[in-house]
Amino acid sequence: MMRRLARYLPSSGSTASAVLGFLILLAVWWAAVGLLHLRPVILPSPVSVWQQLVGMVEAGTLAADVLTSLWELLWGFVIGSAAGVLSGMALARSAWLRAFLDPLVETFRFIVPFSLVPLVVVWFGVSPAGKVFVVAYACYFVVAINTASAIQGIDPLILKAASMLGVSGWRLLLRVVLPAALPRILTGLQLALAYAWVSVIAAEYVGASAGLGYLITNAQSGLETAKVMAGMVVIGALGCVFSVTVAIVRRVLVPYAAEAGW
Amino acid sequence: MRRAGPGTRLPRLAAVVFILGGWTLLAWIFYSPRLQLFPPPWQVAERFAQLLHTELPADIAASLAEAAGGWVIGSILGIVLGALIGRVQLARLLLRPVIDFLRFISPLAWVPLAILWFGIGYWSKASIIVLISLFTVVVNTAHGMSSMDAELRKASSSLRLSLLQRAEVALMSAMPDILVGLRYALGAAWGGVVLSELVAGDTGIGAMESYGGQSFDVAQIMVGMLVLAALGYLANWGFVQAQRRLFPWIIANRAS
Repeated sequence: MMRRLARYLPSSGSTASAVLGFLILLAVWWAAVGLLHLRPVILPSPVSVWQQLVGMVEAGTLAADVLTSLWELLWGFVIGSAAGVLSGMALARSAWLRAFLDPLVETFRFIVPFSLVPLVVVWFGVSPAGKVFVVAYACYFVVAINTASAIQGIDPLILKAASMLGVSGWRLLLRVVLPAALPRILTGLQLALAYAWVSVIAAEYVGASAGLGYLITNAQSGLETAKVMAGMVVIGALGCVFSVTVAIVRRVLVPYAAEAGW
Repeated sequence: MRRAGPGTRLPRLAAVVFILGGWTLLAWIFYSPRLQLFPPPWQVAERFAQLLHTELPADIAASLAEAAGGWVIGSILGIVLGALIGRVQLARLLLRPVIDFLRFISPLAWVPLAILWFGIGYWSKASIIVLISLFTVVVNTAHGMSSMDAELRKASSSLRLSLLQRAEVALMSAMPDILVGLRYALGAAWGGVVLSELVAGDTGIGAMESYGGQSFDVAQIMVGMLVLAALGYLANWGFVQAQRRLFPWIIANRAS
């Protein structure tokens, strides 16, 4: 019977599976609140979290916070990944540049982006510029490393075949190198987007005056647990939206690359 | 780890010169006598030496304890849950969707909730590391356990292995995947430590950075960043060494 049930199970890592998980968790949560009679500060009921969410939407504060966070995400991601793709290409092209940049990347890889947060608060104050800086920094290394290994990892046979067929220059780059490297580059961008979203929230914990991260830390210092959880739900839902968007983009751009769950 | 060839020494030296030179140049550009926003390397080194005699050892110990405790607990939980999901049908049915959902909410978004639940002591930080490690390790373990070689399974049943021996076979065949998860979690743990200490902490490297920020002491923040990077590097290095010693049959792959 288990086996038959398992056949109807959504595949791992999919959105359907996540929705199912949400329902299971909701049931457990509801049961825990009903049976254990916990104080609302420790664990509010799902209903009061929902009411908080509706209240914030109606007051319009949620939209403002979400827009602030999305704006910081957008700029940080665009700047960080553009720099990452360019340096990844440079890393893959020249051996000398690789020998020069490799120790730099290896050093800065270990400087955690979140440890930059107090620094950017001193430098930029509460303005969004500091958050954009942290997000761009967080994206850069993932994208650079993945782009470099994507280009280096192209099957040499493909390049040989292309040169034998007389393809070179821009045509080689656009028609051969890019399609071959794109799946791996997109993987890097996908990781970077997830990482960037976390970094936006994390950067807003300290020294911010708007945004989702500010929303939940502010609610926490006011002991409004229901509001904290409502904020977490919004963060998770937006993360889910990004993930689905990336999956669609991936299917459109590189339909030839296999995708895997876990 | 890449091998450094003889021809790469010059560019490597150039990289070191570039970092220190660029840093000094930026410090010179942003110099202002009243507020040191970008201290040069020697001032950071000086501050490091000062802090080493006062609060730094205690902060490093606090951060290490949180990272290590959270990582060990989260990894054990992750391996157990991952093994259940990989091998037991009921667990796969119930737990996998829950983890698929929770993975969308980053562990770092739990920081305010952890503070509400555990206060600002040890567990509010360690619990974040537990979450980080758990989610990473559970996915890799489940993947490793469910993609076990069919021949291996047949062999272990035809050899009439006991349950314990069979578990060992499953664990060892999944070990390459588990180790990738463990190493990734170890790397991600430092970010969780510093962030949760920044938000609520009185000891630890994040708290030290936060005090530095409040008094506009940029050198102190930079000391925190560099110490954290050194800890992350050492942890990664130690892990690779231990893996090579304990599981020499696994080829160490350079996961990003």
